[in-house]
Amino acid sequence: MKSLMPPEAYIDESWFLREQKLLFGNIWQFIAPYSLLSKTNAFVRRRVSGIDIIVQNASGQIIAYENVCRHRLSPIQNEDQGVRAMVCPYHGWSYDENGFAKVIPFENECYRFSAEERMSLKLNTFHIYRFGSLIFINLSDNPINFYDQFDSNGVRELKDASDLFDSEILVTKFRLKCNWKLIYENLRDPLHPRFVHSSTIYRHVKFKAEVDETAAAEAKLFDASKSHSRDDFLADLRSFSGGGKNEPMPDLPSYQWHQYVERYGQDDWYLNWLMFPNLHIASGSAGYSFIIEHHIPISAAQTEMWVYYVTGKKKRKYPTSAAVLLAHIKGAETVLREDFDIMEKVQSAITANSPPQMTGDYEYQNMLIEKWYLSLMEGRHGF
Amino acid sequence: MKHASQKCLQIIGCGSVFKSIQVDIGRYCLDYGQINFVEFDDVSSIALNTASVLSDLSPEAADLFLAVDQNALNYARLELYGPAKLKGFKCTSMVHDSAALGVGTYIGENVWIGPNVRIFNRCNIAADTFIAACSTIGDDTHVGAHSWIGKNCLISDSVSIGTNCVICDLININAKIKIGRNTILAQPGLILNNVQSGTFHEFIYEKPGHMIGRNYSFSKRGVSK
Repeated sequence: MKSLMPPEAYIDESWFLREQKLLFGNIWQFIAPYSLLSKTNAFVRRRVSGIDIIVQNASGQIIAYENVCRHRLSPIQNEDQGVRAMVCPYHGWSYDENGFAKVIPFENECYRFSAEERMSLKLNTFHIYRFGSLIFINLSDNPINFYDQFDSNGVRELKDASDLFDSEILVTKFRLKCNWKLIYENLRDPLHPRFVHSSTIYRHVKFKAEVDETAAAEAKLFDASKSHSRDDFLADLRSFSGGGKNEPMPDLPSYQWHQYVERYGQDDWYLNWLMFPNLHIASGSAGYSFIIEHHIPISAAQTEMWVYYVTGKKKRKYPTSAAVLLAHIKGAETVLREDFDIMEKVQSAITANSPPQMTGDYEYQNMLIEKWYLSLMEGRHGF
Repeated sequence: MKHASQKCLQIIGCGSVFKSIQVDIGRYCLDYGQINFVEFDDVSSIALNTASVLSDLSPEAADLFLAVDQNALNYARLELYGPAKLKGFKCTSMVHDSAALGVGTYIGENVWIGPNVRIFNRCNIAADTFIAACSTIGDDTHVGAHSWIGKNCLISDSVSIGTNCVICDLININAKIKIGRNTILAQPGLILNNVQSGTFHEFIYEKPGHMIGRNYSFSKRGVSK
């Protein structure tokens, strides 16, 4: 089937900016695992939709602020994550949990703000939702209900799984030279592993590309120009997120550390969840450990990928836990590089004159998302 | 108790250090009646076979040297070292005859000091740590247990390196720097700042990987122990 997605959607910066506003400015997006924020003053700094954001544990509350001091616009936090109070390093302004300037050193001697000015010294704040051990952010002033976006059996399973995440976590970042949509399209393409990952993950997990006849027919019937109700629009959005047991892993190896951590589920299956638009969580150890991949669009042709590795909660401390996470991330990195390589090649091949993609029935999920996405981008529907 | 010369030395392990010792055994000035080599196929077979290898030996008759390269923060070597110590074995250390040790420098057990290594005065090289060829360690430096220092490294004076660290080849560490535990420094160059525990500086990451959680980022200010 001929794709409706224009090449501009992958390469054009003005398209990208519109997408940031219409899509990312309105939906709930993953921002960080809770374990990075569990201590007082723990913070995470990420750039979301071009906004420098800090999510901080402020006296037990998780709050998201714009990371720009109201004095001279200096970033308040300068590391990607850490534990530090909300104090601007430039002139020592500190902020309270509501984002108001709390202490301004030499305020009366040097600044002499009027009462009105003083009251206006507040950081921009954003809506936050904690879902299991996952923290989401919404940049809109009037966000949709979280469960209007995420509500399916698979999503509820993910919440249960995330409740088992351990507090020890390994985090790192990669940068891809490709549009973020290539990543979610790739993740919803079960045919590619046998070609791209034939010597790595496909040896252990035989991903099957099957056609769901009903879903494929629905995807084809979806008429982007037809006027759907808002409820239909949100129902379609909810259908993009879910997952759970993906494929069996009959040769799952057994490691000593498995006995030291809690396991999600009891079946030897590859677990795979996709939370639209930009969160992927998987378990290649059938519930003993998890990879969290968070894709942050940076520009039309660049995406930042934050990767977290975590095991199930420890039943007891064991000395090799850091080595276990390190070994996992190294194994995952090999598979990720295979994906990065192919996606960056696809990105480099897309030009304004590229012919339309020809998608197959097995890509029914991507077909439906594409049509929904275009109805949003072309202004036929909105939040 | 038997004198070392009456005992046998079992060198158990695999990888580059094991092989270099095997071909150069005459240069380690060892005082043992007999030296045997037991080689594993690879690191993944260590955990599976450690019990059976050790069950054939007795601490009264044999000392051990456990020669495994850096792998998984040196825990592959620890999988041998831990059970051996629990069974009461004495582990010897191996210092190549071309290496030089300064005054007051302490070497723990199961330490390997490779060819042409220079360790200056009052250093403490804790147990189960390997220092590869041509590296230099300045005065008053502490290297924690189960660590690895690669070839041609220059560790300056008063450096503190935590346990389970991997300092790969060609890394220079400035004086008085603290490297936290469970850290990998794999990019050749100069380390000018303290490195927090659980930091992985490797080529594969655009930014270093970081362990987050108790005793890592949530420790008190400074380098966590």
